[in-house]
Amino acid sequence: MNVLTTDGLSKIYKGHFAVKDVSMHIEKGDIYGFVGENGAGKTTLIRLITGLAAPTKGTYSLYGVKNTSSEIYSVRRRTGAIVETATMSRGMTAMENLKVQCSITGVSKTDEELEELIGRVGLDFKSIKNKKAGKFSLGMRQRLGIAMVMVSDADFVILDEPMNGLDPQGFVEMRETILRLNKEGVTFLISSHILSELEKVCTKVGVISHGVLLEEISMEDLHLAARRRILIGADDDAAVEAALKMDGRFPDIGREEDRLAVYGDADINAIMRILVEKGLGIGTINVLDETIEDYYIRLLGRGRIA
Amino acid sequence: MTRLLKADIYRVLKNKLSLIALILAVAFPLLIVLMYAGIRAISGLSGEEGADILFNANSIIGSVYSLTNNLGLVIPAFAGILVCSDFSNGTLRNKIIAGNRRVEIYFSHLIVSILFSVAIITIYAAATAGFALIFFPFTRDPSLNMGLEIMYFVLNGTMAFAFIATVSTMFAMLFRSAAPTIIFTVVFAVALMAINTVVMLIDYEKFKYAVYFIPTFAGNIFNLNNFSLLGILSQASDTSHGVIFAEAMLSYLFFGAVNTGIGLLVFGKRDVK
Repeated sequence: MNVLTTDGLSKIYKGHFAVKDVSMHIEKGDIYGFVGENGAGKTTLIRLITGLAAPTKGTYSLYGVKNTSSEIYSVRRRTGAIVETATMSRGMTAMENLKVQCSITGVSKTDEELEELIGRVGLDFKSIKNKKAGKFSLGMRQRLGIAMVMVSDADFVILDEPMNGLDPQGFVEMRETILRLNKEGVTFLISSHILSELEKVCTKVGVISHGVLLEEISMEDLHLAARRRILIGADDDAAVEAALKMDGRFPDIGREEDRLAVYGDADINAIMRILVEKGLGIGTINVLDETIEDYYIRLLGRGRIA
Repeated sequence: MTRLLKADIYRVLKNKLSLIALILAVAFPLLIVLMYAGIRAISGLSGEEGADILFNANSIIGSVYSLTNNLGLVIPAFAGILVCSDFSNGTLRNKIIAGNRRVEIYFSHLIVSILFSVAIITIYAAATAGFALIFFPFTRDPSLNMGLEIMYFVLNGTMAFAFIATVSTMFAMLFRSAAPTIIFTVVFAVALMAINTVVMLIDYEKFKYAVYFIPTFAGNIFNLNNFSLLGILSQASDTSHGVIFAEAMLSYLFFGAVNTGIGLLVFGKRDVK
């Protein structure tokens, strides 16, 4: 089931496309990482789907309900979002902020349930009981923000750059909170300009650059696309492939564009020895040891050229 | 909208500004009455015949709903800040994300702003009347007519502040920041009272229908009622008090609705940061 679908969503600010024809799909249970450099259009897209801004063109659907339908207001109650920073009244305590959020979302929760919620996002209720939110650290505010989002038992949560400003400890805690909530059935859309931040939590990634969605790829496929391989350009591809397969040490052989690709930790010297022994001529041979981050940067480069 | 109202009222009650406004609403009247009592003591007129014409509770109470006196400008400024805090904290986003319609959000802000303004001015008026009557005599004889005048006076004054709350809410939605909201609300209120005074000084009856089409008319009536209570004018004009009151109410409602319409139009279409 699709939780969010966008169809050619665009937003123009002062004659310039902040988001252009974005069509993305988030399914139930996904932790969707939305990656792109600063100013790529991530926050704009999030602002569009949360109702903070109106699209110039295109539509989106939340749980199958189009944004043009009057029912969109009721399905929004199933979503929660932190856009840019967690927003709360800084002169109020965590509990008071949660009570306001309960009223805003129209849910009724007892003090005990709210205390439990505070604990679920990794905040120690006893130590923050009388502390105003304005005195919280950035990480604590982010966690309280998530608690406020979860107050309505939202099953789709949008987090815009949630790791921003967090220390390593906060980073780990945030990741654990996301994974725990996902296990409980919450679908996430998380934006970041650093792919490695999302690598350990996401199941799917959408890469955006200059307002254009360049690629939507599952984490599994991304790992496959970014894995180490040796690329061989030979006159007789079929013979080279047959020779390498016969050797038995290179079971994972594929094709990338017009070259053969030997995946895994294959030894380039061993490959060359085999080809020389068999008298097979090669044009080019090189090792592509790309990390996910390299792949992402290469993709962004392609976006810039496009 | 009930849940938004609940959230906004809770937010206002938890705000320190509300407590400050409450303290001012009680402290200001006490200060003013003590000041008058001090002047009366220094003047040496205390106990003299005719001293009551200069120093009486009527004149102190009569100025209680003036937009340019004491708390008159403080209340709309506070109301503006309270509405704007939703923008400055970013908590407005939470309301939109949670699926609340912008019309509901606007009306919740408006109602809370009106409730806050009316509550503070009522406390202020009650405290002023209480302190004034302790220290000074009330120089008019009780009558049914005076009872009606006081009722008109209170309702009119209350409506004036409710009307100004529609102005401060509109400016809050237009500017989304406390400073310009306060400045424009204060400028609006001062301009309103200045035009009132000018029209009154020239010839009220002559200009009555000209000012019908600007939101100063209600203010004019409001002032006239003040004078009436003071005993300076036995009746505001040749028109009966009831008619003047009805005209004033219509004016407040009409211009309040215009402000709300403008505010809603802008807030409904603008992207929220």
